[in-house]
This record gives sequence, structure tokens and C-alpha cells, in this order.
Amino acid sequence: MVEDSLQRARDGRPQAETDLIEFLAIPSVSSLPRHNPDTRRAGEWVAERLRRIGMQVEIHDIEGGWHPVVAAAWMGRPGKPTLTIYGHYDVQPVDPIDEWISPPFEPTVRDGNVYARGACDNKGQILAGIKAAEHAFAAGGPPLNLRFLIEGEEEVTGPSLPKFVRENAARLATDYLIIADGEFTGPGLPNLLTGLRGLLYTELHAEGAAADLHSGIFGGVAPNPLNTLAHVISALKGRDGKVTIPGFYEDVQPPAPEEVATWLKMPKDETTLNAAMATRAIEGEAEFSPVERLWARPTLDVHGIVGGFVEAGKKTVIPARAKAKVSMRLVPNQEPAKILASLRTYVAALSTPGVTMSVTDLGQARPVLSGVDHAGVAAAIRAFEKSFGATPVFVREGGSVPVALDFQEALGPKMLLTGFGLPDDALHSPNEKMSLEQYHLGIEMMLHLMEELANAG
Amino acid sequence: MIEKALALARAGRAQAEKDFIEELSIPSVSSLSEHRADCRRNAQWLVERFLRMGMGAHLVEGDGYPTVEAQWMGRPGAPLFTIYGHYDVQPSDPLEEWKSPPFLPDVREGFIYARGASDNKGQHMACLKAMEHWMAAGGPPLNIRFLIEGEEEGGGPVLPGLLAREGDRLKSDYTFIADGTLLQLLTGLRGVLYTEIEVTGPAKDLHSGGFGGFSPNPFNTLAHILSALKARDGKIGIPHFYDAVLPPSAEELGSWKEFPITEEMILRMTGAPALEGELDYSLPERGWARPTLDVHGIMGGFTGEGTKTVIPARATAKVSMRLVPDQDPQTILANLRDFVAELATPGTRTKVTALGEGGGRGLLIDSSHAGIGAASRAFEKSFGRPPFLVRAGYSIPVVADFAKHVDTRLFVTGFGTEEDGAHSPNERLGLENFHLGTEMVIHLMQELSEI
Repeated sequence: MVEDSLQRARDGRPQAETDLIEFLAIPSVSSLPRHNPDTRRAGEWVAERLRRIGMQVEIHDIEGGWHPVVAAAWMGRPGKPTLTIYGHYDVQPVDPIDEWISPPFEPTVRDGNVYARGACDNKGQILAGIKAAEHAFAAGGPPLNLRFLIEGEEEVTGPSLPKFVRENAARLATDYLIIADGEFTGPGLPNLLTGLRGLLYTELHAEGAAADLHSGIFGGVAPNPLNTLAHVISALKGRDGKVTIPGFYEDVQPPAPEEVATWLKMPKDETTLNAAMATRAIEGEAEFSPVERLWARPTLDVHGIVGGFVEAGKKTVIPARAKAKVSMRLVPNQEPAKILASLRTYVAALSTPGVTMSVTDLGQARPVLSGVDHAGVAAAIRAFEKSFGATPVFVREGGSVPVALDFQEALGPKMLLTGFGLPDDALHSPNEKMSLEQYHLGIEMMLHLMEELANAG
Repeated sequence: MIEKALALARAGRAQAEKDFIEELSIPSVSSLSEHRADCRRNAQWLVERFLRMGMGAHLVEGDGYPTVEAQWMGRPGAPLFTIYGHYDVQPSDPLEEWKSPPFLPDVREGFIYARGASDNKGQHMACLKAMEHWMAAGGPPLNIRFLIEGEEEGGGPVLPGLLAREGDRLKSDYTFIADGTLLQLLTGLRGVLYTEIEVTGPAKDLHSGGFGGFSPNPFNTLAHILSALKARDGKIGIPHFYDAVLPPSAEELGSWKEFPITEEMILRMTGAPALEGELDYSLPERGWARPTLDVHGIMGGFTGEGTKTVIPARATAKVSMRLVPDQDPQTILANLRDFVAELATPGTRTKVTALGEGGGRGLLIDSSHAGIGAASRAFEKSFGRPPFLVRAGYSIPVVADFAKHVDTRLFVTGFGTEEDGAHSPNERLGLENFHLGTEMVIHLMQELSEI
């Protein structure tokens, strides 16, 4: 059976690429309201694909949510385990648009890679799962029961899928759940994740005068929210990479020494990272190795500052208000809500006399640790070996998959956190790509995984 | 004669407001290329007005927006009086904060609201209307020249070039820089150095999940830099920044004590919860005689609605410094560059660019000449009060160009107030001030002719 579906995957490579390009051409940017119709269209595209291959599909619009959840099921193997495949059909915004070599929503193949927003994060990876299911159905049906849960709010940390999962836990019961939203540790080096960082995304608002002022007339006496924001942000994280929010590190749980020992063998040394970023020096907490800084240490980054005059040329304005987008990556056992409360108090104290500061919560995700000693892990290792010819390593991920925690708490499945991307796929950046070879082998890996899990029971 | 001109001004108020509204309706934003045609239209509109009242007028072209030059030399032997203004205006953002659209002038409770109402269209229109009434009353008692430029807000080269090139021809007994504040005659102006500070880190934007913890973040570094440039106590951290600052004279400080400005007034004007800056100096000193530094905007990264967890490859801040005599912009720029480079974090690089020809120096204006007395009397006869002798915290770079290239006695004043919101949403001018300003200029011409 698996041989038949593998053969179909190999013969169907051109069609699989056509399908991927079709999916990538939908500009499903979930954070921009003007793309709301496109985002829905991407969800409907996924639903239609799953329906066409023979699954029961439902599109759920969740109250209080923005983009629907696509839930599909095929329970044709009574007595066999159930595998749920997670993915998200929404993508990041594309700015800065002028740095793209080909337009982000006109997928272009160059040197064996397809370039488009969402190529790796996450359309290429979802479609690997969908294509695998398609071939399995064509070859007589998957060897186990199968579910898909595909959301449209991953990039905006929306409420829909968490709510859906928690409210429908009983009928979504699953033995295994795979989240393929990551990337290899290096070329030819797949991984299985044992932990994910969490996220707290905030906006810091600074309000000064009632209206914009002329710096010639009021400079020297008027509060300037941008100067104040600079003081606040500068204080939040020191030059040594230490976050100064009171209590920030209180609940940080250090990784086990043997876990760190494995990590230090990963290609994440200073030279490699400087080459990947084209920087002359890495920054952060010097007393931790780069890989620990990424996987086991929390951090804080500013993503943008809104306010004042940002056109070409000069305007001597003292803006009435400004805001900064600031997020923190969190590690076990930091609690986003506790840190948000501390941040609020701290930021207010860091303000200057003429500026009122406030903090808006734009999204939270708790960090996750996942077990590595279940039967699914052994199956996934064999599936990687049979498809990519490589044994995966156990690592963590610096990013967040907020829904992983909802799955863990509501469904309690044996979780597999992995991915088919490559480290240079430029997720969230201009010229995002997916290697077509990784995509095709990802389809084969998913076919092997179904077979291995069915046999594992 | 002057009675006739004044009578015409009083009878012509309605028409003057119509003319004013007509000029305010032209969106002559010199810093935005989409308004290029509007700026030129405004210049033509002024030429047309001057020609119509019987003056000679033409556009002086250069690499940018033209300067309107108009003259009337009908009083051989009498002094020559030059009036300066500018027809370009600031951009109108944030647009959503305007109660009426910035280029659809709206009169509410005795004020006219529009971009440029006080800076500077109301001021040069008061002068233009005064000239028009004098012409209708048989001609002013002295020779008159107008120079109205279109690049004041952006600091363009056309008028400075004209003054540098033709300073001898433009020699004038008195020059009125009509870009000041009501009942304030200026004895000094701050200069400005406007810069962009760029911080670059990774070669491209990165995902904070994949790189956060060891990636340099140009925004975090920029915050460290900006925080160090000006401390919470208002002191600027650039090395040697204050070395050349001249303290005001005891006499100046004494007269400033009488200037009616209080913290409560500024709080009311700005709507700020508290004032900031160097608390060890008085308000007039902080506003006029002390240098400062402000951040105007920060570019780069993600600024849309919602969330994007990007570590941006670069971030750029617009930062300007107001300078006072005898600070040298070039020296300060060099020190700023070194300081910013030192403040960079290990994984970032910095670049400091000066916008607008490297900045302008602060300036002291001679206030001992007879024109000052004439202006003082003209204010008393129109507004009923003599003006205060003060400095201004803003920059009028063209004052330095006049001082350097043209043999003339300068005075700087105007008809708008600090509450009129120059450069802010809902900029306005009091109509009474506009009309009395017109009468002030009528008197001023008379007073200057009698010196």
C-alpha cells in the first residue's frame, strides 16, 4: 500500500508543484483587514482540496474570531490510531515589498526553490500533508484514521482554533498530532522539537501633548513621546541582552545539562549565525551559548515604531503620540499574563513627567515542552530515515506555535513538532522560499509516518 | 494719504478675507512631490496679485520652487523697504486630527483654520493687502520690494542663491522678515541641524522566533542611542555639545522676566500633562537660548495594524537639534557622528546624514537700529501695544542669508501667536490679528519713510 502511494507521490511531482503554486498565489495575509476575503479564500481552497480527496470537511467561523477553522476527518480504519495534521493557511505581511526579487504572491521557481510569501510558513508544509493524504486515498485509503485542523490565525495569534479545540475536545479525539511548521536544523538534518518558546506581543503607547507641536516653538519645554519611548525601550533590555522587567526571569526553568550538550553539537555557532544574518557580531546574553539564547532563554525585540513624520525630508514636529511594537519570547515556565502585568507597572514607572504610557496586549502564547519518549517519536524517526535518509535530532524552537499548548491541554495527544523547511527559507522576510525537493520528500515522509503510526498502534 | 490707506483697509476687510481664503486653498506643500504643481500655482497667483496692484513682479527660477520678486520704485530718494515671506506650507499630517480639511479654509469663532494660515500665508497676505491699499491711496511713501519664497519649510536653494548672487542689487534700507510672532520683535533665533540616524543590523529582516536572542535588533540599538542623546533631565549627551553656547546677556535675561509666559499657559496651549526639559533654566531660556534635541519619527520595521514578529534589518530616526549662538552645526554634526558610532551595539552599524545643507547656526539680530523704533510705533498704532524684545526658538534660515549677503537692517516679527498651531493640525490665524496686521504694515511703511 505505502509503495503504491509513494509511487504516486513520485509520479505526481509536477502536479504537486502546480497545486503549491496555486495555493501560494492567494494573498492570505491574516493581519491586514484588506486581505480578509483572500484569507477566507485560502481556507476554502484547503477545504475544497480535502473534500475532493474524500474527507468530511467543515468550515467553522468562530465567534470572536477573524478567519475560519477548516476541520476534516476520515475515520475509515476502526481500531487503528488517529493522526491529526495541523497547519495554517494564513501568511505574514510582505513588507518591505521593494526587497522581493519576484512579487510575493506570484510564486516563481528559481534554482529548485519556489519563492513566495508562505512558501515555507506554512503552505508548503500543509500541502505536503494534504498531498500525502491524497496519494494515500488514491492508493486505497490511509492506513489509519486521519484528521486535519487547519487555521487562518496563526500569524496573528487569533482565538478561533484554540476556542474550537477546547469546545470540541471530545469529538476531536486523536492519538497523535503532528505540527509541521518548522525547519530542518541544517541541510540534510531534520529535527523533532522538544520545546517551543512562548510569545507576548504588546504595543507601548506614549501620549504627550494634545496635538503635534513645532519643535522650534516648543522644543526645550514640551514632552516628546518618541524621546520618552526611546528611554523606555532602552531600559527594557540592556546592552547585555538582559530584560529588566521586574520578575522577568523568576520562572525560567533551565534546560537539562544533557539537553544542552546535544544542542551544542548543532550548527548554531557564532560564525554560522553571523554568516546567516550577514552581521559582524551576534548580540544577546554573552554567558549563554547562542543556541541556548535561542531555545531556552527569553528575549525582547522591538518590531516597529509608529508616530511622527516618516516621509522623505524634514518636518520639525514634536508628535503628540507614538507607539512601539514590542514582543517577548518566553520560555518554560514563564506566564505571559504575569509578565504583562509586570511590564505595565514597569513601563508606567519608566515614563517621563509629560508623557503617559500604556500597554496594549496584542497576543499571548505560553511556552511548550513536549515529551520525546512516546511511540510516535520512534515512528517519526523511521519516517524521516526512510524519506530523507537522515535521523532527526532533538532540539527546541525559538519561535512559538501558540496552538500547541491548546492541543496539549485539550486533546492530550502524543505530539510531533517538526518541519520540512530549511534554515535559509527566510520565514517572515522578503524572498521567502521552499525547496521543492524538501517539499516532495516531505510528502513522502508523511506517507511513511502514516504507515509507521498505523503499525505502531 | 495714510488715512486713506487705513480707511481702505477697514472698508476692505471682507475682500481681504476672500483673498486670504483663495491663497490658503492652494495646497502648496513644498516637501511633497505630488504638490509640485500647487506650489508653482501659488507662486503664479502671487505674481498675478502684485501685477494687478501696479507693481513689477516676476518669478526668480532656480533648482527648486521659484521666489516671487515684486517691486515698486516710485519714490526716488526715499528708503527701500523689503518684505520677506514664504508661500510654501508644512505637510498636513496627521490628517484625521483636522476638524476641517487643511486646504478648505474654514472660519470659526473669529479664526480662520487652514494649513498655512499663520505660517506664513496670513503674514505675507497682511503685507500684500497693506501694499494694495497704499497703491490705491496713491502709492506708499517709500520704495517697496517683496521677496516671497517657496522653499522655507524644506530649506531649498533658490532664495539663498538669489541673495548670495545678487546681494548688491537687493541692497535695502530695511527688511521685514514677516515670519515671526505677534508683538514680538526678535533679537535672536535658534538654528537647526536636522539629521537622520540609521542603524543597520542583519542583511535582511529576520523572524524573531528564529533569531531572537542573538540577532542584533537595529530598533533596540536605536533606542539605546536616542536615549543616550538626550537624557531624562533634558541634557544632551553629545560630547562638547554645550561648549560654544553663549549665555544671554544680563539685560536680555532681565527683559525676558517680564515676558508674559508661564508654565500654566504652555500646558494649556499644548495640552501636555507636564512640561519637560532643563528645569534649572527659565521657560524663555529653554525656549530661546538653550539648544535642544527632538526625535520626529522612526522609520523601518512593521508599523501596520496587528502583529509581525520581525527583527528589522534597519531602523532610521529623524532627529533634529535646535542650536543657539555660537554653536557650529558642522562641529556638532561631527561630534554626533562619533558619539552615535560609539553607542552602536556590536552587531550594528550606524550612519548619520544631515538633511538640508548641514544645518543653520543660531543667530543674534541687531536691535539698535531705527527700524526697530518704527516697528514698535507701528504696533502701538495698530494693536495698541509696543512689542516685546525677545528671541525665538525656531529657525528662519533666510535671516542668516540676509544678514550675510544683503546690506540691510533687519527686523523679524509677525501676526500669528504660539497658540495658532503652526506645523500642527488645525493651524489657524485670528482674523482680527490679520486685519490689524494689515494696518500695522500700513503704519510701518509710513514710520519707516519718516526716519
